[in-house]
Amino acid sequence: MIKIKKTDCIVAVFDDDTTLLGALTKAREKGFNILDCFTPFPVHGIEKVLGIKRSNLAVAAFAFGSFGFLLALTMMTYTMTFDWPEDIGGKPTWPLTSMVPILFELTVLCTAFGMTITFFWTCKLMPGVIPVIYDKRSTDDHFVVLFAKDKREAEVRETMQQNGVKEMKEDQYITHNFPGPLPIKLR
Amino acid sequence: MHFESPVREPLILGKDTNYHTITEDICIETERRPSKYWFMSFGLALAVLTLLASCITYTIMTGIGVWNLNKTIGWAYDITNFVWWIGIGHAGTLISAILLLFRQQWRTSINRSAEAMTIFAVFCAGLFPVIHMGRVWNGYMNLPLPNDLGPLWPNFNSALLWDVFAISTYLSVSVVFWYTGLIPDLATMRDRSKSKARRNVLTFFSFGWTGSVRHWNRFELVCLILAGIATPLVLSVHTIVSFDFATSVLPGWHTTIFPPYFVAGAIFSGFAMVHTLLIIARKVMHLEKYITIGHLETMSKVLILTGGLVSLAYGTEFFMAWYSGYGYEQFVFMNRLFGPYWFGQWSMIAFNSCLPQLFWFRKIRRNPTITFIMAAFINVGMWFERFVIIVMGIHRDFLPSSWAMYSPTWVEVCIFIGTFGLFFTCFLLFCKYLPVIAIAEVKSIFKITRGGKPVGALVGADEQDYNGDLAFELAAQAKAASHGNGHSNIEMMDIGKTGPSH
Repeated sequence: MIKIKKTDCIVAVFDDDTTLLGALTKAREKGFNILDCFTPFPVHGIEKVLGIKRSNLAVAAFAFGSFGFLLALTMMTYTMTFDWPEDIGGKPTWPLTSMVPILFELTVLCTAFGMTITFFWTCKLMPGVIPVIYDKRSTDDHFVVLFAKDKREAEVRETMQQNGVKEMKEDQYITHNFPGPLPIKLR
Repeated sequence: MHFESPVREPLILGKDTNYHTITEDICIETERRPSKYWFMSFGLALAVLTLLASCITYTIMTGIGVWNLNKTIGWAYDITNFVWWIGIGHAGTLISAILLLFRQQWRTSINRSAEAMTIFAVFCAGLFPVIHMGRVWNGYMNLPLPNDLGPLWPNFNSALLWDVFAISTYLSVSVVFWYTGLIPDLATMRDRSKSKARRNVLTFFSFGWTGSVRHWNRFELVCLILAGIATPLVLSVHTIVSFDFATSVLPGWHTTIFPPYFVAGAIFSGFAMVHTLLIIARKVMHLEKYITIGHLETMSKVLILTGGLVSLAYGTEFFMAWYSGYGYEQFVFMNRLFGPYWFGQWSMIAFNSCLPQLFWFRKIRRNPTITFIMAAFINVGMWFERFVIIVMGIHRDFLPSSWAMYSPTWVEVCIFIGTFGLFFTCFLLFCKYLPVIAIAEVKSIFKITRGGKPVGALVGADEQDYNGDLAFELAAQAKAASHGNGHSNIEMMDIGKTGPSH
């Protein structure tokens, strides 16, 4: 059953990435509940501050690559060796060396497509997904942090004020529990 | 911690540039009505595209007989054009993949348009082998599809079949790489859009991107792995194109240096084409702040390097022909220099080996007009290189009785010209509807590249009062400072509140 979860949150908007990193470091030190953070470009070092682990996409890439390799090997072995062996200038019917280019190409093709599709799936992105935008400027020049609105609200607000927040507002953090993308309107 | 030497030129110019103006400058072209020059160029490109469509239709309806191929010269104009276009299609993925692995930050301003150019060039390239088959409707036989013809499976020993796989893989992976990179920028355009229809279309194409930190984290990893696999891929494509020739037993073709020679040539011609297009684009779209003279200079340096590599290959070919002591091989190379197609060989030497030597001069590297003309000549030279290899490799073979000459018919010439119509139609549509510079990537290097640079450096050579000699300027300012109150008067520019962060 797909459930849509709405959490009350404080939206803190920053206009500089250095200030943002400083404020996030403080927030982590104090142990605030950071729900999400939106930036217009990949801010380097932010994953360390927020404690985001390195993604396992490389494993997916390797798996899809191996699949492509085996697919190519099976296809060429089946057609050239078993289904219809042909004598082409006396060459062997299982010519591993002339298979190398196609083995390589299909490995790369499957890695690229498989990994990219996995990436979109795990990020819950696909054509038709309607994103929940907390501040439109977060894809332009502003940096947005969502804090859970719990009993430490006043403390969160104070810390952010001290660390150069540009503005703060209240909103609802909306997520769904489906593991992949959902093309529905959440708000 | 990233250290950027203050002597290095900033990659993004403009005293008042900030994150918002970057978005503004790049998106504005996609939002406003295009200029009359755009409409004029687009009209011209469409007309030339129509020429391509009609000539291809004529060729297919009548047969390959409308071309001037003969028994001796079975590959000529079309395969020359194929190799030329596929070569041009190498720069984009090289810039976005190999330069990403090497952490070359200057690539961020040019990778998007270079990748688009790659894709369109591969479209043009792919056309030629397909129409050269004559019976295009049988093209599906290249694929290992179950069928009732024998069953007739493709021959996986054939370099031509490897080419089918290499080029289709290259095209699809380039599209994936390019589109994945576009998604955050499409989201930026979506959030700026004023009309509802535009927002809905962009929401669809941006896949619902929000810019969440977790997404960025995975996004960067995806780009890195894609770059890691696209790097050998881009090298493999032209390697396999060179196998089309190198696996034969013809003098002049069966050379083991062909793979690196072809790859270097492809990068050479690709960069020349990127050069040509970007010099136009930066002027027309007012992107001088992002595609700076410094970028053009760096690309010129790549042209010297790759031009040097192809020259080395030319020399090696002649040396090996002499050293082999094999009469037929030696004949082919003497025929190249002094045979009936001597102009092909000499223009290739002139344009590809001699001309790029001018790039050793800094003044020339930093002059867009001269480099534009030089890049155009390099592309002509690279076209002749392929003509020399293909036509001159086969027009005089072992039997003098089968020697022949080749010149293209009007249909072949029109198809070649027509591919420019296809290329520019796609490129102009790209410039109109999509951001030509990777907005997010440029923003991510913005502070690093400008941090600690004197204000003078942030005004580009196009604005005339800065000639690019940053080292000199720094030295002068330091000298002035030591005469003054002891403080350095190198002004830090105002970006954000605390200067460089990364």
